[in-house]
Amino acid sequence: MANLESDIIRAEELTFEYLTEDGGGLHHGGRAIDGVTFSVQKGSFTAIIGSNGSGKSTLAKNMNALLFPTGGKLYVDGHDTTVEEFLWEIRRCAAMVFQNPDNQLVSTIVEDDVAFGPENLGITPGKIRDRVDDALRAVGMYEFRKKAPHMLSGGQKQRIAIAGAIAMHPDVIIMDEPTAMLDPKGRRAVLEIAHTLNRRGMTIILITHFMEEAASADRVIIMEKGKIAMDGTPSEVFSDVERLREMSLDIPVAVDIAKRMRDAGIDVPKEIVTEEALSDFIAGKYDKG
Amino acid sequence: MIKVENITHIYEKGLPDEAVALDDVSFTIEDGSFTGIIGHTGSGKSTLLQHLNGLLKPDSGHIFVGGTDITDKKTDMLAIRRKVGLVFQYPEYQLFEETVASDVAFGPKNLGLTDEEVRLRVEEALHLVGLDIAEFGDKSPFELSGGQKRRVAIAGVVAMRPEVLILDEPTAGLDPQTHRDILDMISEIHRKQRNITILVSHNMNDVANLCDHVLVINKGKLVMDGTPEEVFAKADELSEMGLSAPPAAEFLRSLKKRGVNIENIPLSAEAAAEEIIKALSRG
Repeated sequence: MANLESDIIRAEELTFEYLTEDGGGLHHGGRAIDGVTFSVQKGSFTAIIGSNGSGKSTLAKNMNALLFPTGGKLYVDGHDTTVEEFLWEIRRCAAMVFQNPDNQLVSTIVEDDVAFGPENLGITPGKIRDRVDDALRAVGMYEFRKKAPHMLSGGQKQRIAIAGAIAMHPDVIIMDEPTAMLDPKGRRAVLEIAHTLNRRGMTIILITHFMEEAASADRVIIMEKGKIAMDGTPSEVFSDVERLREMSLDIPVAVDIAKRMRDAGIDVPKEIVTEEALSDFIAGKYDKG
Repeated sequence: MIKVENITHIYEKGLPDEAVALDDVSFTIEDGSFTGIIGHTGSGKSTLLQHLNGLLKPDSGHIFVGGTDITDKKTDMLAIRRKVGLVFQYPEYQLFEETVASDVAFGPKNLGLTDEEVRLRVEEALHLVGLDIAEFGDKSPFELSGGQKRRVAIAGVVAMRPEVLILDEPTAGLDPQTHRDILDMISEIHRKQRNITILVSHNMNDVANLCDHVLVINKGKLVMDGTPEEVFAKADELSEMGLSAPPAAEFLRSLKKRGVNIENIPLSAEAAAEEIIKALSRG
């Protein structure tokens, strides 16, 4: 049985079916999420991966109460997302950061944009000031607070979007492919911020196509056709190279090299999935000669 | 052949915000080449692309494509479009027609071709991007998947039969399988059309796998020009520019730095594993 106290997100047989409309009226569009049960512990860093259409973005939107289960239950901090009186509490508790930074900034000045969420929560102006400053400092963008968002790079805009989420004082931040549109530098900065927030206790759910990002999480969930195909530590999930290939996912470079070494008869432990761990293993073996 | 001779481009020239976006850039791209351009955001590579397809004119210097000076004011835009096709980032945002076929036909129609010629171009272009005209021609672009939309957008440029096809981050935002599918498609087009293909990418693996020639732009200057092996061997310089070699090569380099006797730094995971195995057997 799940530990209700320590779970921030809990899905029980969660199902979501899109309705499609054509000339003949509404039709069932197939299950984007198909009877999924899992929970996310407070303070954890979970990566969700899967090909397009696997249901991962639909799952994210359910966690933020932008979409509601068509079957089963989803609880955010113990609140059933379909109960209307919890709606605003759920959206505060589970903040979202989306893929396209240009679609989520609404103000012409950075600090106004970050203040937008807390203002809607009815926070007093003095407290909003503190929240905005703290949030901008947390993403390293405080000195840009008076700038216009359109003058910033994609990576900087995404950091502002994250600051907007932080200013809600959420319990969990759900990031839906936050690095997909960024260059390598912007990508590293956003991932680093996600980890910094996590080290300070924030629960992070990161949806990504980049396997190296997922390998840095403490748990990886792989979605396939609306169901959970794999769920475990990065070591557990990424060590199954054949299964990853079947699901058309990329193999992290360390896993790829480790597998080729094993094929050549070198006994690389299966739990080695990051470059750091593989490097340590090779250096250790090399020193022993 | 593309010959770029000493082009310089200055934004806001003479104004307080004056910025040199391209600074005396020269290079040559041979016919049939698959060339990669790398550089971090703000390096000037977008400005360079816009010069290559005539959207921007340089403050000085010339660009010759197949002998035509496209920087000459007398060269008309339609002639440049026929020579150079540019697929922008997220090109699917620019789809606008009601059907896939009419979207792809938009460019060829502007070339003043007959209806029959336009129809043939559309069929050929859709075939090249791997979409069957009978199945997709009459569909709305908006009911397609993300990968299919991107194929349609690329077909719209391919239908112009350009001598040079430039793709700016053609796989941005795609999942791993769609990413591979789109790159396979681009390789296939390159193989069949035997044109010059230019790939702008942040993915060093893709550049190493596909390109025979790599240009590196930094702070408006062309700083490297060579084969992928030559360029990615200069990993320390790349790193100073906020760039990197492919992940397998970076990994080997880090092993070498901590004292493992790695002799060569190849670019693929397969070759990297062989180097490590050799190093371990040497002990």
